[in-house]
Amino acid sequence: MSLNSADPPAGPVMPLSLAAVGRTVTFARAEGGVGLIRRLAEMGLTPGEPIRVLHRGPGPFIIMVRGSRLVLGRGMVQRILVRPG
Amino acid sequence: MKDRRPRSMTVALAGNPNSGKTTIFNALTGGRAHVGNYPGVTVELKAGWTRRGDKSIQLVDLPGTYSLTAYSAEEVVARNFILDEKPDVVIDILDCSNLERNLYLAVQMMELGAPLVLAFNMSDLAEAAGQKIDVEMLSGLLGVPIVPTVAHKGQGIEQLMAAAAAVAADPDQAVGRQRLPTYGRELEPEVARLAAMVPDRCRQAGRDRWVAVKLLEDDTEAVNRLHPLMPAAELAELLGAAEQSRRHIHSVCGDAAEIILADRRYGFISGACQETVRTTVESRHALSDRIDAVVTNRFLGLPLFLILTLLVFQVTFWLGRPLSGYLEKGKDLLAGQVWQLWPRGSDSLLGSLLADGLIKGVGAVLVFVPIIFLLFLAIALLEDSGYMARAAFVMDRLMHKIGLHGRSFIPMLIGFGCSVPGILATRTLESRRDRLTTMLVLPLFSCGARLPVYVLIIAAFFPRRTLFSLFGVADVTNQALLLMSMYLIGIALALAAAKLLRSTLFRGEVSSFVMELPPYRLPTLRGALIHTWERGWMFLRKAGTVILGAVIVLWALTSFPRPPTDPADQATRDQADRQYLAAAAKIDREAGLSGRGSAFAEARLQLAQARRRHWPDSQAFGAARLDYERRVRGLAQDSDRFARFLAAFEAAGTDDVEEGFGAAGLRPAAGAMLEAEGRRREQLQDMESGRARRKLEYSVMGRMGKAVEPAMRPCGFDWKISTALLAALSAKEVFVGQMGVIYALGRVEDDTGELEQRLQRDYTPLQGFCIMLFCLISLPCIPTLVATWRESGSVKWALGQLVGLTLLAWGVTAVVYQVGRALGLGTGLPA
Amino acid sequence: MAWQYVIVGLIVAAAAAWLGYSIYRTFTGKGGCEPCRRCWTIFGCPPEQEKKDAEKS
Repeated sequence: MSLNSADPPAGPVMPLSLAAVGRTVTFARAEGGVGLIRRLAEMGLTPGEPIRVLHRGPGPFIIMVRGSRLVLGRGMVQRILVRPG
Repeated sequence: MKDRRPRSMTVALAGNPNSGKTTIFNALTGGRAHVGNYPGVTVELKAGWTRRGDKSIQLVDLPGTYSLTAYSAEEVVARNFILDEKPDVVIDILDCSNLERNLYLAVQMMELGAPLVLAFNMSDLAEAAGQKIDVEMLSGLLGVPIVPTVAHKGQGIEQLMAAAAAVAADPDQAVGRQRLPTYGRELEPEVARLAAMVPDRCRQAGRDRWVAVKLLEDDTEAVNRLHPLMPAAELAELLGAAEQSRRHIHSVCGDAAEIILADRRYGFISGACQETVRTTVESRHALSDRIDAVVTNRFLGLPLFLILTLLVFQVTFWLGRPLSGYLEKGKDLLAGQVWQLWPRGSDSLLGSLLADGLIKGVGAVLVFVPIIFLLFLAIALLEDSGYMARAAFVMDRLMHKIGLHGRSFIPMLIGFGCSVPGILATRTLESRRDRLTTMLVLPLFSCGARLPVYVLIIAAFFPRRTLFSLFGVADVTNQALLLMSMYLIGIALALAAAKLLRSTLFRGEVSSFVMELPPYRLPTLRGALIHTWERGWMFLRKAGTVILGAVIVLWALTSFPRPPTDPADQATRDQADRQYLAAAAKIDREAGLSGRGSAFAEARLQLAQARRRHWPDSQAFGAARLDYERRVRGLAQDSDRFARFLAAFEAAGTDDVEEGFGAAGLRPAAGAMLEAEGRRREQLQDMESGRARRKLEYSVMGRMGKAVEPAMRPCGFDWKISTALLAALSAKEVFVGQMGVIYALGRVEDDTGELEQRLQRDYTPLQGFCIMLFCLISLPCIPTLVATWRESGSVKWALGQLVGLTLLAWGVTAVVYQVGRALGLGTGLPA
Repeated sequence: MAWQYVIVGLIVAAAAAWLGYSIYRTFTGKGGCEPCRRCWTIFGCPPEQEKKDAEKS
């Protein structure tokens, strides 16, 4: 069931909310409605894409994806699943 | 009217938000744009014109979008424009430093078959950050002309237009050269299958592949557009096949079709970029990140935001007040000059319309132009620097507790300029609950129209006092602090109201949001000035239209009907004169002036009457004055004693003692004479103010105000304030205008006090504060109501907003006033 | 003196009529100009835009 020509890194998935600052993780998938998933994809969050966490807080997160900075709301952060490394 | 312009072409500008699209649009149209009435709102289309050679070019600024799905209103607007209006060329403006994400939109345009030119904007920043792009090669790989630009420096614009013209000359050929992404071996067969089932019209337009892809993405807008093109049965078949394809893709690839499609597009982009883009240093975002570390810090973020806004208000006051002061003096001077066109004391209608209505009314509002422009400038600078997105981030935590999220902050920020585009901007919020909540409380985010009211009241009732120094850099005055607290009160109330709404009417989960943080950049003065001018121009136009119209109508309502002249007035005047002469006669007897005292009093009376009838620098008055001096001199020459009396009279009130005149004995007499004059003047002034008050109360406005007054009295408002507040429903600035008119019409002779001074005399600081509160909370203006009605889709929300805000305004103000009075705050003389 | 009444009356009537008409246009949403069709026309569209719309239709 591969999507890209290269297999995504293996490993367990975890919600982005658990990622530490400065870590780079890989986007696996998002739990949510079709609209949400599509929006994330447009902003560059596609499976296998590396994400770097710039700021984590009790509130929103700031991440770097495809060279641009995005702010993700708390609820969003919990619904985005990533793989470490 | 025939369009006599030679052949024109239509150019659409597209691109991500923050890509510099608007800068390029402004540069090309040179300010000759119709700004859609509410600049700064990304949902509107802006159209403008420019010329190149013999061609006139229509430029349309499409809303900033990240892609062309059916997901949000802006994307649909942009997409439909390309589909329906068929522009001759589409210029996609990309932010080089986010190249891959920006190219996503470009690829979607290529799928759409739009004739494309790419502008690689901010190429200076990209270069400085160590990014090297082989533009020629990339252009070849994509099949699209690429022009590097640096929009805010104006570089590359002409080459861009040249490339656009070349494409527009033969759009079909240009599109033919454009490459299309392929979606891989799992998807391509599905795309082909659906494309074959698409109506012929789409195939002829070259759109069959695009429609197929949209069907795979389950794009509802595209499906809607197919309805009129196919018989129902065929459409159902097509949709069935699409659904089948989607299921197949999901089972084979493990994810929904649209995800795969997005992924393939990015794959296409990466492939092209890998060969052509080299990033040497990762320092691209380093500085921005460092600044953000401070600005978005959990503890520093909010205080920093507050300090920044306080500084903004402080500077606005510091620079703007003196300028406003000049305008105020100029306005009063002008009014005086206009009155001099008529004989003094004239009751001319036209004169009143011009001086009391126009100059004093509209002028009172225009006086605030410097402050408003300065505030807009500050906001523009903050926006252009990219700070505003961080502010939204900082506010998000606070808003999350309420049940909103930071994305609501952007419409609210716009609402600080004017509520109407703020309400329109709520379209960017996805959840209807969020939209409604934000929309309903948005007016509490004090709009620009209220600023003149605040500044007027603050200047009138709260004299400037420096409170403390901020980091030894700027002195903070009580005035700036008070102004800021009005905004903060508005925000606090808005959040409280939103919380209330969220927990009662709009219960539900808080939806999440995604927002981009653009990198910081140094705002250009030119860019900021353009933004400021757009907003400021809006204000001026409003002043010249609505406010002007409203003030004229209000002047009429406040001037008519005129009360009949009260014979008692003349009787009072005569009595005052008689009493004065009688007192003079008594003084004359007691001081032994043998009638010269009375003659003196008569001469002074005549002079006073001449002063009443003629302008100071007129010939008639000059003659009267000469006459007076001649008579008095005559009296003095006749009698030594009178001359001494005269000397004492003229020296009275000062501490001068005439030497060797022995005038001591006559000083009390002189003093008594002055007192008599003073008494007469007082009697006349009382009569005049009574007359002015009666004139106002007799008018339509006066009666309406009096009728409303009982309801407003708990808030501390008398009928004058009530009418002004009522009038302010058309536009909040009209409050200032109407107060100006009221005080102009109710003026007493010789009283040339400024509006602020008059207000200070008549009302207490507590009342002033309550006026500001009421203006803050009540509905800004009728267009706001209509905007809420339109955007929410039903009248009931608009009416609810009206009723809710009015009740809240009344309630809060009444409580504050009553409590304030009970505690004795701000009611007496200022400390 | 009477001519003053006439002039003032005309001005006031014109202002009232314009104001009323603008409010009416705002409420009915008519008269917005392309391309946004959403002007709250209480402020009015710039004259060039209205001319352009006239040409189009």
